[in-house]
Amino acid sequence: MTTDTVESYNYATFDGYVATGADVHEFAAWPNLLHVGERAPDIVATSLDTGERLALSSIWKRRSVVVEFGSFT
Amino acid sequence: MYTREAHPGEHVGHHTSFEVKRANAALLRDEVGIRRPILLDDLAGSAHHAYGLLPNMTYVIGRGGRLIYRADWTSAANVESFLTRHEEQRRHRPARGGRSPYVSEQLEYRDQDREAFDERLRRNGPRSYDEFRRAEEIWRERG
Repeated sequence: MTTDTVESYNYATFDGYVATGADVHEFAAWPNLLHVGERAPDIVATSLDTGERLALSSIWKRRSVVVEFGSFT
Repeated sequence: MYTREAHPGEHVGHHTSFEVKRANAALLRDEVGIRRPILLDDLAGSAHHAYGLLPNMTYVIGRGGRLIYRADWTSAANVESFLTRHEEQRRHRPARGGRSPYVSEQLEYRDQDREAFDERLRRNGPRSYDEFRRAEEIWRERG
């Protein structure tokens, strides 16, 4: 089970997500996904403060950037 | 990078639209007092998928776009320590010879404050707390 649809990615219940086994799949995949020394994936995201859409590369072309992923918990 | 809600509940729910996601992120920023710039991933989690889907990862990307640090869990102290060392090494000029990059990996430990975590679950809503308990039962059954 993977979270490859918008609905499954944004699961409504945490125990339901765990019951699918997606957590096991996602934690197992991480060690082999990206490594230091490799080029970072460029992605486009929206600034919460300004609403501006910006590419991570527009930041890293000027300076280093720390990217933390997270939510309320 | 604001992702999906890891433990949605009655008060802070899962994202059914980008506007819901934006509103939850604004609530997080205002309630916790986050002063760092917050980026919103899209509703499908494109950035989250690209970087690995774990709930609280940190990456440092060097100028030019090369990954220079990654951790499957965020420790502000560890990130600060790395950045300090990295900057010192970047400025260092050896008296003779050159310098070569190398890769290292370490297994680190972090404190777990279960009471504080439970408080955050309850902040999201009572069912968030209950669902985490049921998830723990699933993990125990898996062994």
